[in-house]
Amino acid sequence: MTRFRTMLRDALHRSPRFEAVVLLLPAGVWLAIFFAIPLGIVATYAFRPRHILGGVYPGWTTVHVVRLVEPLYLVVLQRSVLLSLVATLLALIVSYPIALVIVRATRWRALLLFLVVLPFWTSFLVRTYATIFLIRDTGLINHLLQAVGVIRQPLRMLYTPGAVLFGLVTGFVPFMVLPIYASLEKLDPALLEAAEALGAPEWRRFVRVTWPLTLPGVVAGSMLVFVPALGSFLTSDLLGGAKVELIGNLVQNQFTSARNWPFGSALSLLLLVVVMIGMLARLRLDRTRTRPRRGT
Amino acid sequence: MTRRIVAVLAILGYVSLHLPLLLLMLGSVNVSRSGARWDGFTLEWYRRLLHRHDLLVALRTSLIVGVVATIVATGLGTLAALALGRNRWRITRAVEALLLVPIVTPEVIAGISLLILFSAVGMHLGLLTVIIAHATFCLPFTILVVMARLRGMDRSLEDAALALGADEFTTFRRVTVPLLMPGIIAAALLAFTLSFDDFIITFFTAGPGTSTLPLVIYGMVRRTVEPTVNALSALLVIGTTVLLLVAQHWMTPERVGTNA
Amino acid sequence: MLALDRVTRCFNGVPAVDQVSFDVASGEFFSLLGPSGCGKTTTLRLIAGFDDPERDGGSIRMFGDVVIGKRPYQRPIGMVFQNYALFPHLNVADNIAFGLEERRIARREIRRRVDSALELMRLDPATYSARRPAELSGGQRQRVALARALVLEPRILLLDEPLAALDPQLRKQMRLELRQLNRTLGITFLLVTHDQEEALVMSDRIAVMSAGRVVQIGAPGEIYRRPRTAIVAEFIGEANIFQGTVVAIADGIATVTQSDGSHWRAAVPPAVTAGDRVDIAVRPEWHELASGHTEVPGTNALPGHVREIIFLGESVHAIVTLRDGRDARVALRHTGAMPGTLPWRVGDPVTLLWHMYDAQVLEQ
Repeated sequence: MTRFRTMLRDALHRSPRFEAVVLLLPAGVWLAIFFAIPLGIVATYAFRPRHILGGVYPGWTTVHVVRLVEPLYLVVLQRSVLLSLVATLLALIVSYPIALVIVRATRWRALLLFLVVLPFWTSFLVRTYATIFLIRDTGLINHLLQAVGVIRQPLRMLYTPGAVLFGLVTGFVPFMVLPIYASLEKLDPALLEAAEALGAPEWRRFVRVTWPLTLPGVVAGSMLVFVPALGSFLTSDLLGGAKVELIGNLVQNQFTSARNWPFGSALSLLLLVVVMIGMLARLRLDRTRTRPRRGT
Repeated sequence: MTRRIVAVLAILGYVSLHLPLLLLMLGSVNVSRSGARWDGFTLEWYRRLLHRHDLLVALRTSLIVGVVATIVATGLGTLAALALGRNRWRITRAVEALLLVPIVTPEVIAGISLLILFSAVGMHLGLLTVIIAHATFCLPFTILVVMARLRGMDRSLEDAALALGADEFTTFRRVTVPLLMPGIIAAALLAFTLSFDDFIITFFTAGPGTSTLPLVIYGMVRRTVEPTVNALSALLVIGTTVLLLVAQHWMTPERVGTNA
Repeated sequence: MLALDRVTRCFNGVPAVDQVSFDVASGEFFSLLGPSGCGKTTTLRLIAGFDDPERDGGSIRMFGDVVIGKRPYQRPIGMVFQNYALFPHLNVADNIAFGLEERRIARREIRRRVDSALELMRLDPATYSARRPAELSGGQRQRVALARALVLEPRILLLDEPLAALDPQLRKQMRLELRQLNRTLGITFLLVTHDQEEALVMSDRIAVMSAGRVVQIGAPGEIYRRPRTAIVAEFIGEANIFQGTVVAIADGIATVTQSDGSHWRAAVPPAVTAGDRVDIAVRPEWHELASGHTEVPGTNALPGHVREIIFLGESVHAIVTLRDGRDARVALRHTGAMPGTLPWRVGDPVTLLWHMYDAQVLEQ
């Protein structure tokens, strides 16, 4: 036992690189088998003939990839991207003020933060379901509007694109608030005082100092909203009924009722490409912002 | 003026986050079946939960999956974090960047790709496939959390142990692991919550008879406006709140002894 | 010019700045000196306008106008922050141009003024304009922070511990540069520092603060030579403090008795009267040491023995244990002699001597 221990110790610590490889191996192998390889298979499935009962036949075809550019599916893609972008923007408009209020608060700071962290940890499914109570025909909003006398008939809100948008925004707001809050908290108050001493009133200080310095948090939060919103099918399923189809629903259908795995794989690839374009755009943005510029 | 707009938007945000949950709680104790108006207080829906055998089975499945997936993800994640957190070579940085790929991959894609893998190798969808799927999507998160803790740790403490005569194993066991513990616990909590709440990936990788709680809730929600689902959802929200309060109490800096 | 009159600011009911009054003349280099928590930074923030005094908490005037309630940018001030507070997302030129842009000045004019501000701080515009703060050394950041404040041509420049983040070598050099800048520009400099040497080197006048109050205001030499209280004496330079009772005062010189019955004489401030128990401060370099036990007419003398000799490079200090068991520190005139070549060795009996004008009776 002791000899083994000594041998192992010497083997590991003679080379930190060897030690690192040994430590990384289990997680690396796991992610290779259960993440990377499956993604690779998805990529090949997109070019396989379809099996009626799910799965594929041997052989190759481009029929599924060609089908992607049919207007029917392009409309869904367009709608998904648009809805996700708008949801991200609205989430930002709600989240930035929340983060600001938390950072500026003194006595209530812990509570205000807790009220964001709580939904962050609460089941997304439950929160989406709970939204129905607010916006259904007999929900609180309709009750209030009728009580005030603004409307007679209940306003149809559930099972509309607006409902899906609302669900996405409230669903993902906590994911946007926390990174913005983190970057706001790191902001040195002396910079704002310096800007004030140099003549910038409050909103100018926001535009010229606070906003550019918290942009990394905004970008991180936007990715955390945009990516899951783009791939979501739960929100559109529960709040949109079957009426607001997004690319996530389309993928889900191919693997459930439609049983068209190759086309589902092709759709997934398309979705992945859009997400990766977003990621690359973000990396580029990061790089141009951090790269030192020399000369004029 | 600006401050007022900020405050109004923030209040709107908080209301939209919490009002639905409050209405859900109210609905769970409302006599009215449809919940269209307040008909009085009742615990009937909670009582009915006790007779729902399928829910108890689903809860058991969720717990088993959550615990096993958490152990796997936290174990593998801690090992990997030790390699990544201590070294700043170009290759470890590249690995770190690669970790973001599974995190930003939409869950639908992770779900269907595992479904395809399992069917390609002929694995029947069941408890094992769900556990594998959950451990997989939790793993990058556990690595990141433990790594963050490792980066904030005072490395001279390990050197001190070595200088005091402890060998690398003893140092690891008696210094590194205790100092890393808060990070490991945080990673495990995150993994368990992610697993317990997951719907999308489970949807594709669970077989008949291995429905987790979110799958059962989804089924109930889609079918009817059955108030028992309100009671169940309310219990989940309350459970999350309690766990979070306990976790925050446990993870306060004084208890954890942060030296970041 | 800049006048504070009984300015008070409390935090949670505790005064951080307590009835502070002083006047600063145009073009003067004025320092607020004191240990951390003495209220000097709060005072500076009140002057800058980041904070305002209590209601009825005194007044702050600049060039005759009361400025309380005015925002910082409505006051004729420029400010250099402790860690410079350079905007990390902007390059050097954009940092300096920040305030000019807020004032809607034409681009070409901005460029011209930024370049001349950089040149004033002896930074080559072609080399440094496009650099980010992260790419600058501490000294260069300091210069950029100064340029950013000075480009707006303020009439009062506020400096909050501007040299604290620099290494000692650079700090010494920047002291002289700041002093010269003050002379060339002719504008008022108001410095906040906890470093007594810094304040002594640069200032025309120093206000020593303690516990929210100004304890003494005066020129560096005056404060060093005639500290009014034990706090000032011990915070600025080193001091041996002796106790005694005043028996008589004549022509600004007091006769003080010791517990052992011996009499000393020392310079005395007007507030002290005969019969007071007082502290007497003597700087280490004002003492002389004589071998054995000697008496010299017109000088105060205390017998003791050498306990320790400390070689400090530019000087040699001796710690002398007096008869009553207390230690006094003596700075010996240093003529290149090595510790071993001094006429005394550890354990030798010596007499501590000092002239009566070199001893200062302190206010209680």
